[in-house]
Amino acid sequence: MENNSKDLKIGKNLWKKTKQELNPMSAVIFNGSLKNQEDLIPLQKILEEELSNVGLSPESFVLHQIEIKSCIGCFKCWDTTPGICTGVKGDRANEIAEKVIQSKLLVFLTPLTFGGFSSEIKKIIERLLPLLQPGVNLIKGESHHRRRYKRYPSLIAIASADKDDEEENILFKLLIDRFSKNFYPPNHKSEVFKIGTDLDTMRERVKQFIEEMELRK
Amino acid sequence: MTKVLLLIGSPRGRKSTSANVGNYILEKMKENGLETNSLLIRNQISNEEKISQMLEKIQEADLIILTSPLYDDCQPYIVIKTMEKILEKNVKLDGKKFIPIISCGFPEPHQISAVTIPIYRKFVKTVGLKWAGSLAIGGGEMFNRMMQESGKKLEDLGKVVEKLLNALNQIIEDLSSGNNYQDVELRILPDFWYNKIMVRIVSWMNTKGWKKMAKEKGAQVDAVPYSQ
Repeated sequence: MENNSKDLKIGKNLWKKTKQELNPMSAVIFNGSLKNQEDLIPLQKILEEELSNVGLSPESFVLHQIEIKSCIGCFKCWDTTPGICTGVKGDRANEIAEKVIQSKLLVFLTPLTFGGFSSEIKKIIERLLPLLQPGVNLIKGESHHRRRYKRYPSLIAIASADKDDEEENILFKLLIDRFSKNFYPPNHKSEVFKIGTDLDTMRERVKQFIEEMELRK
Repeated sequence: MTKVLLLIGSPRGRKSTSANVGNYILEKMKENGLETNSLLIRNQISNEEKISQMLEKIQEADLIILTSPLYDDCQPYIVIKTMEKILEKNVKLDGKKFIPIISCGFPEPHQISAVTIPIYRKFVKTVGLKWAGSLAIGGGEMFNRMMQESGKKLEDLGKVVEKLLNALNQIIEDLSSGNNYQDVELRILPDFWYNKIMVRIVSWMNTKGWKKMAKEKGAQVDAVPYSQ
């Protein structure tokens, strides 16, 4: 009897393990480089490797190579087909939004653009609006979007900069902090790397984020 | 004669607070004897030829007025793309004036001035423009809805639009006479609406309103289409 239940338990654990291996939690990486910019490719590779190392299954989107159209601000994703964009058709934005909400981690890689996102990153962010609900959620007296889902992915945002502009670096951090108040990541981190930062330094920083955000399974 | 270019930066195009606010300013400036022109960024951003056309117009202007909404705590995609193109094509802008007039759906103008206005400042500094002031309109989206529903022009909306018109008139006066405007965070309603209790009530009503709107279209506002 005792042995049997032990066997059962082992079997159960094995099954659980197999299930997890078949369906590892995913991570979605958005590479927001503009056409002909390749600065972010090494960082994208580092993230893919380090996220795999902790048991996540990363999927990268180099955004300028993908058909994504601009949001037209019609709010159909809020009042007509809540949760799904039906105002813009014929691109991959809905498919990507679904992947985002099913993932454990979302990563933005962007050239630092006057302290903010590149157009490529911003284009897809606007198409993630269906993942939120209309109306107002007051946080410390300030209006924010309402959550639609129980769980949102954590967020890592890394910008690459061609110059050392402390004001722009601070702006980027502030942008990510404010964005997070409207997107509900359980954890979020942001960083600006100067172009040419050596790969080991970037890798160590990425590893540190993964540890601090408890992304290891 | 001073050449004014209005860039309307709303992804909604003509039916937007950005267009309404921009056109109000432009008409008055024309009456003041300035040469005016306007472009919808949405229509200019789709291909390289139209982008070049827009950059040419920018280069011809002495004063660039950008009206745009706040999308996700910063500039909309189409505006960021415009800024990138100006930088990439090395457009000569030295000495030209630039003023961003930005509105958002949420009532707090701070949502705009926290990050978006500083990003515009960085842009202006980087590409050699001159800062001519800025206006952050908290809750400005409301006017577009009111105009759509009533069919009225912005200036005919009555008392509710008074504070906004005062700000816009000041911009017109300052810029028409060659001066700069200030940096203003505008709460569009009287102060009474911004006390803690009113904010709670208005937020609650806003949320209820969306729920009702979805219901009228046969939809459930809190649907969760994707499984987790």
